Formats: sequence, C-alpha cells, structure tokens
Amino acid sequence: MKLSTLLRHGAIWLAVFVALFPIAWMASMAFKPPLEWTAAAGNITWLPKAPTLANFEYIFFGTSDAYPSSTVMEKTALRPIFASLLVSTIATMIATVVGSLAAYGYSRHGYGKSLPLALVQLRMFPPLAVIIPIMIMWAYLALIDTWWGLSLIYGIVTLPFAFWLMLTFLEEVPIELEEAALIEGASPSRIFYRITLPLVKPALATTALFVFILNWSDYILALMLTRSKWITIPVFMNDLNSAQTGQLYGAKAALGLIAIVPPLILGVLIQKHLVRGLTFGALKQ
Amino acid sequence: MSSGHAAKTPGKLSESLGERKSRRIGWLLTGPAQALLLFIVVFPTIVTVYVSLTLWTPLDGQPWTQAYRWFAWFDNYVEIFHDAKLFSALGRTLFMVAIAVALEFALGFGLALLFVDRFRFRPIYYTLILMPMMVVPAVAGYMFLMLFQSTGPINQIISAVSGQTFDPTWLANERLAVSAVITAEVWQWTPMVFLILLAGLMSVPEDQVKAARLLGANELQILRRISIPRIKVVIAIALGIRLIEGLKLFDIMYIMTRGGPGVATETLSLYIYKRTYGDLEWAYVSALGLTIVLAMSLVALCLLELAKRRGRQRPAGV
Amino acid sequence: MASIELIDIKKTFGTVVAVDNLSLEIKDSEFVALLGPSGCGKSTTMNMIAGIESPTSGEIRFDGRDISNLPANKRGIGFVFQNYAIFTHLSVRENLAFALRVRATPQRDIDKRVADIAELMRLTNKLDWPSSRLSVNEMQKLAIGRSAIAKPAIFLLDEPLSNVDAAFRAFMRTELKHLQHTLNQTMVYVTHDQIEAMSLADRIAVIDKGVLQQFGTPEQVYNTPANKFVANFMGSPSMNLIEATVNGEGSLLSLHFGAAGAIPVAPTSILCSHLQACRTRNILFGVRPEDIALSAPDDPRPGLVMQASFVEPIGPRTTIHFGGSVPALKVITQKRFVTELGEAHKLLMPEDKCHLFDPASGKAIRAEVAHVDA
Repeated sequence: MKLSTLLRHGAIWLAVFVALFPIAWMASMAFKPPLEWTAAAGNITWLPKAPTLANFEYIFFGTSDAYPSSTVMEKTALRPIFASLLVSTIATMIATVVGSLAAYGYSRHGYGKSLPLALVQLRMFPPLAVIIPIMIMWAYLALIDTWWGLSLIYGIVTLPFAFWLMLTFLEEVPIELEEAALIEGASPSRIFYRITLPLVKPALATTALFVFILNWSDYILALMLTRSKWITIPVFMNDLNSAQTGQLYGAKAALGLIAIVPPLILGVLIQKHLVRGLTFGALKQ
Repeated sequence: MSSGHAAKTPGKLSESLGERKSRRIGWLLTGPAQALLLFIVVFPTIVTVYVSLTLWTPLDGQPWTQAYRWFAWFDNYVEIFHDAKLFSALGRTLFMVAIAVALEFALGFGLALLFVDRFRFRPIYYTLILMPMMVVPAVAGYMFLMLFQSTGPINQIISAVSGQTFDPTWLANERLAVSAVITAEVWQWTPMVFLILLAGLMSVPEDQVKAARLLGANELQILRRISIPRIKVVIAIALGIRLIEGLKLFDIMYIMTRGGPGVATETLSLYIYKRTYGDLEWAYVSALGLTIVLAMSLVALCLLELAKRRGRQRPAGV
Repeated sequence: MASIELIDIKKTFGTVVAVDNLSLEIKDSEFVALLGPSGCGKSTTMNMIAGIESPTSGEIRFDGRDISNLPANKRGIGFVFQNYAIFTHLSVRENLAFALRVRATPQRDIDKRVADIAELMRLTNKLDWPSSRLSVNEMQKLAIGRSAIAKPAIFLLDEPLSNVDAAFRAFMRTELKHLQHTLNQTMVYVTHDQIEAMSLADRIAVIDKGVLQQFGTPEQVYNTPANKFVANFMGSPSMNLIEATVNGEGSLLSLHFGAAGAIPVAPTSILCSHLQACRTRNILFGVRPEDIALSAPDDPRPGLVMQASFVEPIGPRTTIHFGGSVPALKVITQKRFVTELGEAHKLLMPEDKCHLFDPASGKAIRAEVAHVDA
C-alpha cells in the first residue's frame, strides 16, 4: 500500500519533470547572456549565472550590447508578434462565427448535412499534400503575404474544430427551451439571440480559445503563404540565425517563450474541454 | 462522457417552425460555412486535377492556366509508383509514426492509469503533464534542437547518470537523429493520448469496477476484463487521431533536422516540401497530393464509422 | 456463512461524520436490514463491511476475526449494487462466470457452476443474451447470481429494489425472501423503505445521522420504538406524536392535551407506570393511527372528543384526520368508515398501545427496561 503510493508518486513526479524540463530549459536559456548559451562538456549552465534581459532586448530592438555587433538585425520580432496576434484573432473570429452558425443551423434546422463529414476530412489531410493548389489560388487572388490571406486560410482550417465543438455543446442545450419560445410566438432570430446565445456563451468562449490556440500554433501555412511582411512568430524564429555566430539560442529561446505563453494560459483555461476539442466532440470529459 | 445523439437526428426545431421558413434559416446559418468549404475545395480540386495531368512548373515562367502546353496525361501518376524516394519517405514516416504512437500510447496509458484515482494535488499534476501539448510545435522542435546539442543538457544528464562522458552530436547521426526526433514528437503528444485515455477510463462506471473488485478481481484483471473492453473505442479514437496527425509530421522535423542527416528523418511531408520548393515540381506534387487525399479519405470514412458505432454502443439505461 | 461484528465504527469525510461509533452484531444466516433516511450513513456502513471504504476508527470482525485490513476482493463478500452494476459489455453467461474466471477456475467447473446458478436464478434460457438487454428483474437476479456463484460468506444488498416500480416491488420482495431462504446466508440489506425492511428482515437496524437508533426484530422496532425518530420513521402513516402535560400525583394521573381535552389514566395500567417513570411534566405522547378506536362522542370511556377535518379513503382503509390545528391526530379505520367533515367522534386510545417520549432527548419513557436492544 505504502510502496505503491510511493511508486505512483515517483512515476508522476518523473512525468511532470520530463514534461516541464524542455520548457524550463528554454525559459532558462531566454535569460542567459550569449556566453552561457553553449558550454564545453561538463560545464553546463542549468540556471543563468548572470541573468539578463539582453535576449528580449535583442528581439524587440534588433540589437543588444550583450550581442556581437555583427548580429544587428533590421527586422525585429515586434512585427511577427503583431502578425501572429492579428491573424490568429481574425481567423478565430471567422472560424468561431461561421462554425457556430453552421452548427446551430445543422443541429436545430437540419441543414448542411454534408458539413460534419466534409469538415473532418478537411482537417485530415497533411497540409503539404494540398498546399500547391492553395498556393496557386492564393497567388491568383493576390492573397500571398497578406494578413487577410493568412487569416482566411487559418479560419478555414480551424473551421472544423469550431463547428464540431459548438455542435456538441449545442446538443447539450435542451431544445425544449427553444421550442417553448417558438410556441409562444418568438421569431427564430429572437430565439437565437435571447435564448440560445446566452446559454452557449461559455461554450463559444471555449471554442474561440481552442481555435485561437490552433491558429497560433501553425507553422507550415505561414511558411508557405507568407514571404516577409506577414510572417508569424514561428517562421521568424526559425530564421533567427546569424551568419557569423550561427544559432542565436538566447534570442530564439526568448521568442519561443513569448510564443508559448498564450497557448499555455489559454490551454489551462479550457483544460476541461480539451478532450472534446481534440476528438471532434467524439469524446467528452 | 458520451457521444452526441442530436447529430444523428438534427433539425428538431424545424418541425415546429414550418418547412419553408426553416429552410431559409437553415441556408442562412450554414451558408457561410458551405461557401468557405466550396471555396477551399472546388477551385483547388480543379487546379490540382488540371495541373497534375501536365508537366508544368513555375520555372517555365508561364502561369498555371497555360499548363496545358505541357499536357502529359497520367505521367505524374505513373511516376508516383516508380518514385523510390517517395516510398522510402513513406516507409520512414510509417516507421517513425508507428514507434512514436506506440510509445505515446504506452506512456499515455500508464500515466492515465495513475490518474484514475483521486489523490492530493491531482489537478495540478494533471495540468502540468498536459503542458507539452500546448507548446507551439515549431517551438517544441526548437526546444529539442537545443536539448540535443552535443554539449546540451541531455548529454549532460546521460553522462551524469552513466558516469561516462557521453557527447554524440545527436542530430548529425542518422540513428540518433531519428530517436531525437521521435523523442520530441513523443514528448509533445503523449499528453494528448494521456488526456483522451484518461477521459475514457474515468467514464468506466465506478460501480462496475467496484463490483469486479468485490467479485475477487485484482487490479490487472479489472483492467483486462472491464476497463479496456469498455474503452476499446476510445483507444481506437486516440490511436486513429495520433496516426493521422503523425502522417502530417512536419514542424518538429523541419526545425530539428530538415530531414537530415541525409534523408534519415525525411518524412512524407518533408519529402513533398522538398519537391515543392527544392525542385518546384508542382505538377508532380499535385498528382501526389491528390493521391494522398483520396487514400486518406478512405481512412476518414472508417474513423467516422467507428465514432458512430461508439454512439450506438452506449449501455441501456441501467 | 459468517457472523459480522461492528465495534465502535466511525467514519468521517473531512469534517462530516457519516457514521458515529456504531456497534452492531449480525448473527450467522441472519437477514438484517439497515434502515434509515437517505444520507443517514447506512450505505457507508455497508461499504465498510464490504471493504470499499475503510473506517476511520473501530473494528470489523467476520466470525470473530478482525478483517479491517483485508482488501475488498479478499473478504468473500457478495455485493449487489443499487443499479446492479451489470457488466453490460459482457453476455449473461460471462457476467455469471466473472468471479470464477478471475480465480482461474477450469472451464469445465465454470460451465457447471454457471449452469447451476442460472438454473437457480431462472436465467438458463437467457445465458447467451447480451446482458444489457435484460429486464430490471432479470438484472437483479443476474447481479445476485453473479455474486452467489463464488459462494460468498456474506451477502450485501444496496437498495436493490429502489429502481423497481411499485407494482413490481412486491413481487421482487417475495423473490428476494425466497432467495435468502435458498441461499441461507448472512445477508445485510440497505434500504430507506420501512415496509421493505419490515417484510424482509429478521432484524432491523434503524440508523439516523450516522447513529444507530435501535436494533431489533421488526416487531420490537415497530411496537416498542426506542425513541421519537424510530417511532416516527416506522409505519405509514407515521405515528401520531402530540405534546401533552402530566397532571396529578402518585397513581392518580391524567394527560392533558391542550384544547383537545384530557384523559384520566387508569392507576393499574402500564401507561400509568410509564408516566410514573417520567421526570418531567411535559411529554410527547405517541399513538399509532391504527391503534386508535373511534366511538360515539358520548361514549363513557376515557378518550378525546375531536372533529373530523379531513378524510382520505385508501382502498379498504380510511385515514381520518382530526382537529384542524394542533393537536392533530390521524386515525386509520379498518373498514370503510362513513363520517361527515366536522362530525365529532370520541378517540379511544388503548393504554397499552400508547408511547411516551422525552420531548428534549426524544428517548422513549418506559417503566421497565425490557426492550432495550440498542
């Protein structure tokens, strides 16, 4: 009894350690000055010896006193951070609004019968298998390297999640309320605004946060469909190298830290609904 | 936990609303989604089919509309079957995905078993263990790029534990690069398998577990005879999702190794990426993409069938 | 077969005391009901006997052997859950065979024992059904059969009839009683339904707020309730409990019921000796509705003259409520009794059927200490 409890806790602590170690290592790296980035064998720096904000200074201002002068960069991380925020937000709005309306129409009025399956399929293919025609179309419509072009594709690829999540949430709202309102003579739009919407508000928030995390996490679409003006954080981060010194570990870590904070926080907020979101509503917690 | 039922009998409100009115509202509500879907399906499909029947490449300096000049019937499709590099990339992908998913499943299931009972600080541990899943995959790739440097912390920890100097350059060694990439993948996605399997295990009625225990079953027998049979479909869903997501494998590998050293970690996605960008063979990639899409649609249908069966499998109201 | 002893069992969940210093001795082959309102701690008590929960303090003995540290699967207990906990993913046959399979019993023995128990439970023709398709009645039999197959020493049943509708319950009760006779095993049965407990159990343990109120045969619990709670809980409609004042000295006593009047107490009656045991003048006076006899208002015998305020005919019996405000009394008449609203009757209360309780502690006041089982 005692031993098994000890073993269980040992295993859990190990799992927590393994889960957090890479994140902690990157967080530590983000505050290390260039001298501590790499180390000779046996001489590793676990925590920054001389903690510094130089890495953040560098990614925000393009230069830092702690960095070699050859590393000055013209483009700072400010623009990609802004791009990631803007594009993810707009795409989240598109996916959530369009997805919720469709889910409502499907669940209450029985329209769009092809949507559930079609949307799952849309999400299933490796993006690279379908990227060529999309690149061609995006070029044709002059959407390459624009915020609206990227928002549009993000909105479309996260639409399945928004639709399915909202569908499963809507199924939990008893339809009797809406039926009663209908019998009392309320118009469908009034029912939607006055009855359904207030009931599914928390669900909408969950859906939006979930979709935001997905949008924020994308790499491949931004890599393919942007060039310079609207590159997002992950794309910018991977280019954050210097010709002379190679990988700018500290700067990358600082930017990586900025990149993972929003999804971590949002993820904890919607933790309860992650199973539902990740399995297209097939499973609930 | 249960699967939805209204999805199978949609449109309950339409009966009381009258058909004509309901139809108008139905179209209004689902219209935008259907439009977006058509937008992303119809035009690209036409383009893919068209381009895939030619030998066009952007290098020719002609827009895709002029691709007919290089019309080649099914040459690209024939090439797919003779593309040895493709099949070795596919083989590598399947190999890596199989190992990664097997590890994710073993670790995720083990962890889920530890979390079935309540204990102190369980919600906190739970949240912490889910963290890797929420890390941006590209950043996760970068984390492991750092960790697997020859002077990086992983070598340090191995050296400290084994007492011998251990300093290989992981990402430059073919075998080690594969294990490094799989490690990153397993690190990131074990939490998801854990999460889904735990939800499944928690849905096994407590009374049945107690009943089995009182009938003399030990924990292993309860698992084998009650829990696992009851969450078969959940297991299938978790594995199905991970396998399909695994086939998309790109971000982590692209950032850690770019498929290297050589082609040691070149997955299907990376191979396509190289053909798209390195060689600009867009016609061939179109044909390949279409083939993949058709093959995976079959898988999608199977998965949905499974999900449906799960819906029907609910126990009678006991 | 085994006897069960609970010695000073206590169970707390955080600050909530679910079971408080409960002691109980259940004899071999006895059928005991743990009876009480929901949340009284009866299920917790049962779970502790089963080993699903462990007591915070105290000791549990089977056949005199302390089993407090024995895990649930080693206690040799048959447990029938409230919802039966049928393994719905398995067939009826596999449900029955479960306990044998986990003990690695040879297939031939499994076949034989499953056939035997199915015969006993009258499930033979449904052996290969998916268990989820059984009716509630069959599920109960399956649940009992599934436990019985391992020949447990003790059978525990957690409200097995609460999922069954009223019409069916009487039938199931008979089945259960029959089964207990067939299996002839120690059975502990949790219920909140006093009729079930009365009709099935050899002895009833009445529990309230985690405390054992009384432990005795159905007759004892019904006829000589140890306290106000037991008196009120047993019987439907429940016992009339009204406040009364004792007047007089020595053996010349009378009971006063405010506006309803007073009754002189015969000096030689048992009621008089009970009253003499009283330390206070204010008491709670109890009498069961079916023990009150109605008579004409001018009947010379002592009694209360009251007016009928409400009549409830229930089939062969009629419940008549007397006195609109306090004190109010219910009376059950055995045959259809015709009365008008507002009509006055004399309520005769046989002195040997009257109960007295201390209004502060709720404890029964009795002259002799013949029936203290708790």
